Amino acid sequence: MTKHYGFVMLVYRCIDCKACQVACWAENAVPLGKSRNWITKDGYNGTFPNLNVDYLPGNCMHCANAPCVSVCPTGASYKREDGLVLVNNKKCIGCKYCMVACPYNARFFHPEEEVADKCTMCSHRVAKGLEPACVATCVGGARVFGDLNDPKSKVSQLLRKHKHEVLLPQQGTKPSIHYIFDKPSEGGILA
Amino acid sequence: MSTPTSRIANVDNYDKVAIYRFVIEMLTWVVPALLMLAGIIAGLHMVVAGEEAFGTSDLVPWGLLIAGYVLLAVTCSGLCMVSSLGHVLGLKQLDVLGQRAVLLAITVLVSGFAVLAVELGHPLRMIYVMISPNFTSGIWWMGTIYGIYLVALIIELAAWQLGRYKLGQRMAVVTLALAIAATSNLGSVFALVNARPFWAGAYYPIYVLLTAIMSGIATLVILSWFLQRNKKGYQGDRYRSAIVLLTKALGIFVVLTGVMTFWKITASLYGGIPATQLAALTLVTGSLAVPFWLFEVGAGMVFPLVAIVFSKSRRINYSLAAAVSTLVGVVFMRYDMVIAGQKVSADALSGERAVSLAGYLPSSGEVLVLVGAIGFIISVYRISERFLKLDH
Repeated sequence: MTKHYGFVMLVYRCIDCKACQVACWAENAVPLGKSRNWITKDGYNGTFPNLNVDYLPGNCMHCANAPCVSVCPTGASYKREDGLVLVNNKKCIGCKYCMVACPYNARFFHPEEEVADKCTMCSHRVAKGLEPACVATCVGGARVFGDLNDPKSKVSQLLRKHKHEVLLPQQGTKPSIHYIFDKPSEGGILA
Repeated sequence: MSTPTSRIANVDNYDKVAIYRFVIEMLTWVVPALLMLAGIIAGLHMVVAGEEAFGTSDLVPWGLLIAGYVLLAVTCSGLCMVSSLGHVLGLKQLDVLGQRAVLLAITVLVSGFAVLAVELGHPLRMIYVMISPNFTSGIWWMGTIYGIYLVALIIELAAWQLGRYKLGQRMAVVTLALAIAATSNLGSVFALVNARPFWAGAYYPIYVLLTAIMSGIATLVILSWFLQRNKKGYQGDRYRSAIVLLTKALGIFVVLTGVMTFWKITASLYGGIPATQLAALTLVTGSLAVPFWLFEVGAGMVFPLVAIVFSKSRRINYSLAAAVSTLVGVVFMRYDMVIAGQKVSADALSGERAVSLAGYLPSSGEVLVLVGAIGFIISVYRISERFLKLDH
């Protein structure tokens, strides 16, 4: 079976330290003021005085039905068999249609290359058997990377064990990034 | 009987009028040329400076130049669709404008492509549109059809110029079909983006087609008005007759555009879907309220309609005022359409329940490039008019 790389985000583990962003900047030479990944707030949840905030780590969703790939006039945005959505910079005309079409606003315009840039899931590291930089550096272990088609992988085990969601399911994009909102206090200790 | 003194006075007066006319004539050449020059300088600066010279951002990637491209490309196809009524459907009153409309359409489309080239990060890589096509892309279809359309327009004009009327007639049918296909495809570029709920759906291909015809009519009214100025007798009457007919058509299309706009805004507000509702509110009461109410509705619909109804389409100066006002409105229609759709997007980053509101203000460079495009159109059209025989 072919590989299908993806992420599982354990939301309760994210402490909003932004180490993932810093690691990505360093690993991928992301230009100043831009970012291939992010952490956003979700909430506040609960009732006063028991309020809490979830932090949602995110990046390109590497959608199975990627709108950026469909709309790209030159095929510069393409999907690999292993699930990674990548950009061939040499073919990109800089029309920004992919940026407009992405419901997750996952792309940015690279000011020097003048192409639409995005998370590559660190394909150069994955090719060497390494985890993406954001996963390797994540302090709380909130970002989990692996082969979604491999039943023994950590991501598959997590998805089997816990209720999980994708963002904007109504867009029909079938993202490869899954979110688990269970907390140890609610659903037992997570892997 | 005139005295020698009064004769001298008349001669002086004649000289003054001649000088005045010469100055005006020069200005009509110099001003568009200066605008074009300003646009070229701004365009070159933007190509060199890159992203920082644009008002756009990662949340609002398309700005005034995309709106300008839509405006020019769509006006070009509108010109062709309306003038085809003379060539293809035998509406004799519009026959007089046939070749001039085609020439103007070519000029407008070339200026549209130039504006788009400034917006694109790598216009030279457009070669990949041909050697590595993606048939699921709305922009691929739109760009390809507009490219073929430009070639077809040039062939049509060449056929008329070379006296090959049968070929000209056939090409007029081809360009009409291409104009309709290209325009509705341009609408589909927006309609197929599910991530922007205000654009998504079948509305924009129809709206863009309808407003293309409206802007084409308005442009032809302005052209006819200038052409009839110094012409008396039969030729002048033909232009004036065309203006009367075009003004009536303009009235109809302004009303239709008004109806479509009303229901688009009403449906977006009524539905209660956060993203579409907020986009409509941005137009009605938000940051785009002035462009929307004052220019899109006021200048683009209300004023032209009042002028047309008041003059009963018979006073050509009123027709000119209505047409100019409509075109000003169309500029803002395109701007509102492009920007409102992007200002609000379903915001995955805030847990799907919220929507984001992004800001956008055009940079001076973007404005100058668009102004330069208008200078280009006037200059190139007038130069071409001198060398081509367009009255056949």
